[in-house]
Amino acid sequence: MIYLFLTGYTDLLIKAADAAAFFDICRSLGIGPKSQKRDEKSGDIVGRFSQSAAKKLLALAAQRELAVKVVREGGFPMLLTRLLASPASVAGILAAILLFVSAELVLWDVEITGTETLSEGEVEEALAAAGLSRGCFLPRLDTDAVAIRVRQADARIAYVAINLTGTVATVQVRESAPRPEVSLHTPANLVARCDGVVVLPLIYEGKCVVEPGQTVRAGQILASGILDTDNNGIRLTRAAGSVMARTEQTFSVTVPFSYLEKVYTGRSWHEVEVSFFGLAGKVFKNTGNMTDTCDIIKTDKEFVLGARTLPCGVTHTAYRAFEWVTVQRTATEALALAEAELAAALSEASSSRTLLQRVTETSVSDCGVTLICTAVFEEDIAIAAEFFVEQ
Amino acid sequence: MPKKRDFLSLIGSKLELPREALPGGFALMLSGQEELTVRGCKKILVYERQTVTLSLGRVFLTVSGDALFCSAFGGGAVTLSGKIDTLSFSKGERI
Repeated sequence: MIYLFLTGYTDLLIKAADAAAFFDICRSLGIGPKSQKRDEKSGDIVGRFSQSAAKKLLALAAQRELAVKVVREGGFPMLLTRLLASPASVAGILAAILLFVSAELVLWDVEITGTETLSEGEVEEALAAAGLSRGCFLPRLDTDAVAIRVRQADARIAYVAINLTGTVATVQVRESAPRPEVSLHTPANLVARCDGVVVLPLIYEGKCVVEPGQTVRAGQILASGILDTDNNGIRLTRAAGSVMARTEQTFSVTVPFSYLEKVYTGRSWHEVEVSFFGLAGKVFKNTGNMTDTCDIIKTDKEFVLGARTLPCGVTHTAYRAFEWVTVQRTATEALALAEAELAAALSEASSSRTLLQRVTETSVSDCGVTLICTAVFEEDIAIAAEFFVEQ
Repeated sequence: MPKKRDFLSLIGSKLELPREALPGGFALMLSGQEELTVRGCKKILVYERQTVTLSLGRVFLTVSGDALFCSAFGGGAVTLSGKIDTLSFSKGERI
């Protein structure tokens, strides 16, 4: 039956009275019907023959004036004839062939492996800047040149290897090794990170040069890494330890009574863009009378087939118009907001130190509310300051 | 009194050849009750749902049954398919 479809078939209607004569013609030519169906009432027979056989049978039947006629023609040749009769179908078939052929000439996907701290998006951006991205023309792609450009452009990437497998590029990345930490043997002093009053120095390496209750300035030495020994002269060491001190910090928060608030007007515009192998085209937009003040929300959606991202997608851009409206706050609202902001700032500042005391002054003017808070913390103010000795 | 065998049959028996191999011969092969292959068919005389008559030279073969149709032609043979009830021979005019 598949053979009959591929070569084409013809259904012939043979009248019951001429059946014997017609089938005798079939016998003489050695051509049998592929299938037969007899009408129960009239006795007429519909037989399916190949197109070439049907032509011969019709010619001989016409010679003998037999009542045989074609009721249906079908198969691939007929389908092709009907398709080719329509210009749109021909154009569609040609476009499909062109797409099929050209699909092998562009890069469909990029697979990135070996990243640890870098994100795949960052690597893809670097690759795109170097000339490799989804939709690029494969015959013109020089993977070695791209790899060299990527390594030179980003210091975080130590090595890149690009392998092409069909229309997929596999990129192996090795990130640069982190800088080695400072050697623990480098001599260093401990100095004050900020002003404060020493509460408790805990020095376990080096010489402590401050006492509890002493006021120190930022940068002042708290513990020295130069040790003067009695027998062996001067010895250099890396001072280590902690110096707990009371420090003071001032926070200021101002909340105005009037402020500008963004209010959306309700008007919006949209644009839809379709991308295909790196080429993009707008398919819809109604941004004719857009205003200047609007938020732009862009959503990119790439089509996915299974685990494979296809090199085509849709970008939807929405524009929402807004206007700035002056809004008034009451004094109570302004004060509450200022206190909340102050609390947040103090909470952040207290994450690595202990808050001992705070004094807050409130000032109200025509413009707004101002809170000035002086906070006292207890914290470790010692930091290492390395020094180098010429030998 | 037994009928006289025809001359060709006599030749065939002497030469040990089957009768169908000689001029005017025919052969039938019935497979079950659904398929009949006839070799030596000269013409299809009647082709109806319940009756098919074939000319085998000087003999007519009438096949009676139901839903009879010729399913294949080739190599000088005609294959009849359907429900075959009876086969009958009758004398016919030579074609």
